[in-house]
Amino acid sequence: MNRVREYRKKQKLSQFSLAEKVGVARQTINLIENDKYNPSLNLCISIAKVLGTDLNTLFWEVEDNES
Amino acid sequence: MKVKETFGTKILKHFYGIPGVLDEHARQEVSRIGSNAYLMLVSYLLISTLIILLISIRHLENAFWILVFSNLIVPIYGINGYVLVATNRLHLDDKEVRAQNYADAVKKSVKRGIGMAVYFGTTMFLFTSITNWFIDGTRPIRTLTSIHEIVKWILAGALFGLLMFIYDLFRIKKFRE
Repeated sequence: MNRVREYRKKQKLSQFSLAEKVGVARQTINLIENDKYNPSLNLCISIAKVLGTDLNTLFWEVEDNES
Repeated sequence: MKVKETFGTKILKHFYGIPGVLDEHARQEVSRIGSNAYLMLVSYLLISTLIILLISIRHLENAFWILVFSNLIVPIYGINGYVLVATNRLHLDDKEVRAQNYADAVKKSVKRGIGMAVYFGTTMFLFTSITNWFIDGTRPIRTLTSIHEIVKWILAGALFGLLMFIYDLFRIKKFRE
């Protein structure tokens, strides 16, 4: 599961606002958050920039037992 | 981030009835729907041509009329119907607006409905004047000045506009933040 929703909420952005900022439809943001759509690298970068973070933080899955 | 839409993008959005942004996800889905529609259309063309060929051996005139009408019905109701259902299922045709902008969106739909009513009424009125001329030799000026025809197409335009407005209204989705 990616962390787009978590970071969007940290930034106090709605799906609608984030979608407007990155130039996509709200449904696309919803699909990304629910892991139902794999966004392109360019879109991932745009989302990361708007959310003030990086691609690893948003999309790299980290196992809980990894230490 | 607003990206300027090219003419091609506008045409694509118009054909698939997408009111919002044609982003990468929408483009991917539109390509898939378009490929399916293409496969259906080519299959129809091959099968219908074969059937018409067989009918035309004995009934040439009937074959002609069957081909003309099936070529009108299959793309309009079959292929367009598929595109309409597929885009609707994926919510590509939703008009999402913020709750506070809902009234403005409804106003836009009313304006669109009026526009469609005028467009449909006028186009069909002019089209009828020409078809009447071809079918029974009625001069276009006679059709264009006939009160019966004018009233008929005003009512037809109003009904079409109303239906388009209702359809548009169902597509507007209120989004609360």
